[in-house]
Amino acid sequence: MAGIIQNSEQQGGLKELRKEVLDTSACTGCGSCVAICPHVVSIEDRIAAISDCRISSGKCYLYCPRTLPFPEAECSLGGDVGYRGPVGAYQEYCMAKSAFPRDEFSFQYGGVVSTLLVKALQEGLINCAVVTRAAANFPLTVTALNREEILEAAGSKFALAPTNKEANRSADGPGNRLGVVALPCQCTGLRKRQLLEEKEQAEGGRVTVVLGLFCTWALSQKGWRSLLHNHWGKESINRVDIPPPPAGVLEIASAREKVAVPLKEIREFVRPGCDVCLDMTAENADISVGMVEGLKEYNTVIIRTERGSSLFKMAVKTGCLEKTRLDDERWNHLLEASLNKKKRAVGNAENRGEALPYYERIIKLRERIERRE
Amino acid sequence: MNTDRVLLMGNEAIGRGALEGGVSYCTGYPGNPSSEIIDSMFPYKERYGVEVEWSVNEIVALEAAAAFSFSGLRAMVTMKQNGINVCSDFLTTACLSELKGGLLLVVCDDPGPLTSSNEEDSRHFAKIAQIPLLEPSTPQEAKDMAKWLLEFSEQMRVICMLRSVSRLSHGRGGVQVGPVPRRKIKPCFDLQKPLVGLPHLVTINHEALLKKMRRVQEVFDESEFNSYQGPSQTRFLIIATGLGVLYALEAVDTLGLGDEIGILKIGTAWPLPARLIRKHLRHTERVLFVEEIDPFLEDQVKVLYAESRDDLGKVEFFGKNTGEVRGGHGPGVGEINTDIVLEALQGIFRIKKSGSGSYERLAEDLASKMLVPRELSFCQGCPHRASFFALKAALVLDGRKGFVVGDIGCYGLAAGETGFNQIKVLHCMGSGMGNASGFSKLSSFGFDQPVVAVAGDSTFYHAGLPALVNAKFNNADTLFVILDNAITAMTGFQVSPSSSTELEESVTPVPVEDISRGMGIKTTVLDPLEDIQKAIETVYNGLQEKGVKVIVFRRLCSTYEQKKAAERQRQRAWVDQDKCVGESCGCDRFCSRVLGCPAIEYDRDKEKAYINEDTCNACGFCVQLCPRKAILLVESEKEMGR
Repeated sequence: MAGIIQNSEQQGGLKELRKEVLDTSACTGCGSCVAICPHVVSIEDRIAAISDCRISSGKCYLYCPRTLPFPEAECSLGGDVGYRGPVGAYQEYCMAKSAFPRDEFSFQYGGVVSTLLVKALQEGLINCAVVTRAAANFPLTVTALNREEILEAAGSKFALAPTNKEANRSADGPGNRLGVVALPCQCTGLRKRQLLEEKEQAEGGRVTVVLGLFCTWALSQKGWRSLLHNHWGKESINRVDIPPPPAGVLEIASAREKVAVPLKEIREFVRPGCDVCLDMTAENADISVGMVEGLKEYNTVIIRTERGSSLFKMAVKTGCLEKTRLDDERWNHLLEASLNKKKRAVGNAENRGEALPYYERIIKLRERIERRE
Repeated sequence: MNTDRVLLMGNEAIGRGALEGGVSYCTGYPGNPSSEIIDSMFPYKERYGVEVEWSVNEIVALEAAAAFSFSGLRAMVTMKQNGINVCSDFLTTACLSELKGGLLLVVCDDPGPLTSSNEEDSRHFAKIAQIPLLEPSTPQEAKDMAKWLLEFSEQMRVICMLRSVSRLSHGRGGVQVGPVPRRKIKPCFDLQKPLVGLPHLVTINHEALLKKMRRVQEVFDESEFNSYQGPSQTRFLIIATGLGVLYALEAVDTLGLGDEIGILKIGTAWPLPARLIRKHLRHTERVLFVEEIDPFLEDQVKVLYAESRDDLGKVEFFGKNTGEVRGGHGPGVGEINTDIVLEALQGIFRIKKSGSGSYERLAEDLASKMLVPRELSFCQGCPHRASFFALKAALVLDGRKGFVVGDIGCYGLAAGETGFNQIKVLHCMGSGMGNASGFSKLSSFGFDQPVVAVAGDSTFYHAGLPALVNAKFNNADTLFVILDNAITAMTGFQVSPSSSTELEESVTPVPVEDISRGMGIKTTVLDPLEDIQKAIETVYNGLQEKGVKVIVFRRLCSTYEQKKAAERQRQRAWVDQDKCVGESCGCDRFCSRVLGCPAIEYDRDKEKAYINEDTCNACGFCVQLCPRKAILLVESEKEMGR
């Protein structure tokens, strides 16, 4: 991948990444800069550069969702990179649910993500899947090689795992075609990686399919640990969820009990990088998936790319997914919520008053977001 | 070979002297420049039936040796200058007891230190404890004095001290060796003569000690270890001791002042041979002192002069107090040498400086032409490199401006580049662990930086153990990292209580984790080189937890391992230069630049990394960290396609 670094003269290296992201409140902890470079170390969702690198343009900087985008990314990416409408660019949207037996799997809602991945694997579109499962109540990103391993990871994890670290690691394997389940920030990082790989015709594996998850914020693992310490014992968690307003709580449930933690108690554990995130619906994924208000068995699905579209169609055609129309009220509600996240992010970036390139960039988007182009 | 003249290092000569003095037990704690004394005595174990062993610290060593003396046998204890501080509690009480067998305390000072955290002059302790002190000038004299002191100690029934310095301990010279006595004494402790330092006995014993020292002084006035060289009636006298004698002789000779200057060599440094010195002061007008580190003789002679003012004429004194004897950092600082004495004499005699310049400068000029400049660095394959990498990574990830406090050992180099500049506080043996205990108590005053204390295995047993108990006892929130390389590496691979019986059959290992777990302290043992991510996470988790935690980073010293494995077929790391992409990688020469391993080089012709097969210890650290996976561990040259 020698060429990327040489051809992207206007970009930055580790020094700039530290200054603009890693050592600031803007870092999302997505993991895009991890496992590609020995200067960067990580534990859980904490990422840090531990030595000085003199390279003026590096992958660490180029992959990061919060750095200055290179030209190709600037032209095509939404989310934190650019404004492409309230939920980013898409081909179609709908509701869907898995045809897999629900009793056997701990799907969060409609099971669409797990099902699409299994399908992609079965059809040979991908040969491994980077998914995040729970290990002792903490998120752990792994590379799943079969249907069972994929389904084992079903269900939402509210604490952040630096998924892209595992994606970087697995993409190293020659011939690997990865499906990755990622949060919006991670989707942006993966898309930047893909764009550079295509441009450079890089050797090694490829990130082939990116399935994005809707996300309002994520908790730091340190915060999650405090939360569990305050509210939960050692019992294995089956499900974590935020019921629709006005509940205002985060529910943690095991097979035997359920605890509701007021959202205001959780605020302090949210990663600071989440407060300045424009992207609720994973605008840079192939397919984005989230909940449907009031319909627990379904997912909202936004199909964005050609590759996403063909995968989804195949899953429906083969009877793995059941597709239904998403009504206008719910769709408009989603657009509203997504826009609100963008507005909050811009406001927070202004309030922080830090002269970071990322903040300066998103503040410039304010007008377009408010005009709702 | 009993009457042969042999070439011996000063330290070997001291050991030989003790052997000829009928020593039965030798112990000490390793520390430069003293270590080779005990090291050189291990071969005597079987041959002469001498008990030789390393102790865990200097006070234990002196106490153990005293037991031999209390039972009628002769013993020797060795240490570096810092060691005498450690054993001083016992020294300043045992000096009050009537010994039975000779007990020799050897202290080697490290002026202008090569491997010390101070340049203390140990001679003051002879005055504090009121014990006889000799200071040799040559390896021959070192041997003779060691032998004589063991006998004299037994005769006077008091501990005797021998002071050496780096150049003497490590310099070599011809030594006439003598016979080794066959002493057949059955040791026995006399129940009628208890040795107890109870308060009501102290004044009695103290009085007896001072009386003894007056008798010692009389002996010293006649001692052959003191001598005078020069005109019979001189107006200018040099009083010198130790290596100062040789420097003075050479300087006087160089300046051709042999007819004007007399040199009084003092071998008996404490108590001062007062009568002898008074005799020489009587016909002298000017005196220059030449001695290593502090103006010890200089001060004592001035006191003596003041006491005898009525009998003596006016004498002018030159030395460190007056500033004539001074090196680059001022008087009383650093090592002395012939140049310093020359310059002092040139100043006093107003002789114009001439000649080809100082030896030191000439040697430096020559060295700079012949030697490649090298940074202080951990050895290739050193486990400390991985340990400090893990410490740095964990502290940076923790993000609370945490830091490492350390102490004395190879790992002290981690205060510099080779250990990623991690150690921020470093003083004496075990001090980091005590410091950390205190740093954690600052939290109630708003201090919020995490502190990690590191100590080597040998240092842990030496002085870290009380700090560990203290931390536990006082509920400190502290992370202790014990860098256990199973050997006292810095001083030349002496055994420590962490050494396995595979290294040394005659010792019983006392693993760190057995101690800490026995104290109810959460203890994790791991090899830092095996899995660096795991090492980082272990330190990081340790930083997040309350209470006292111990991490033992265990891996045998790579240089020791390499020495032992020299005959076996060695593994080594090898760079697949087809995979290494050099400057195009984006790692910015991580292996050759950041890791700082002496075995990794950057091949400027090929613009790729290269590992020197002669030096690589196959620790595998670079193998784990290379982002291109271009470094492989290979068994033999065949597998590298040669």
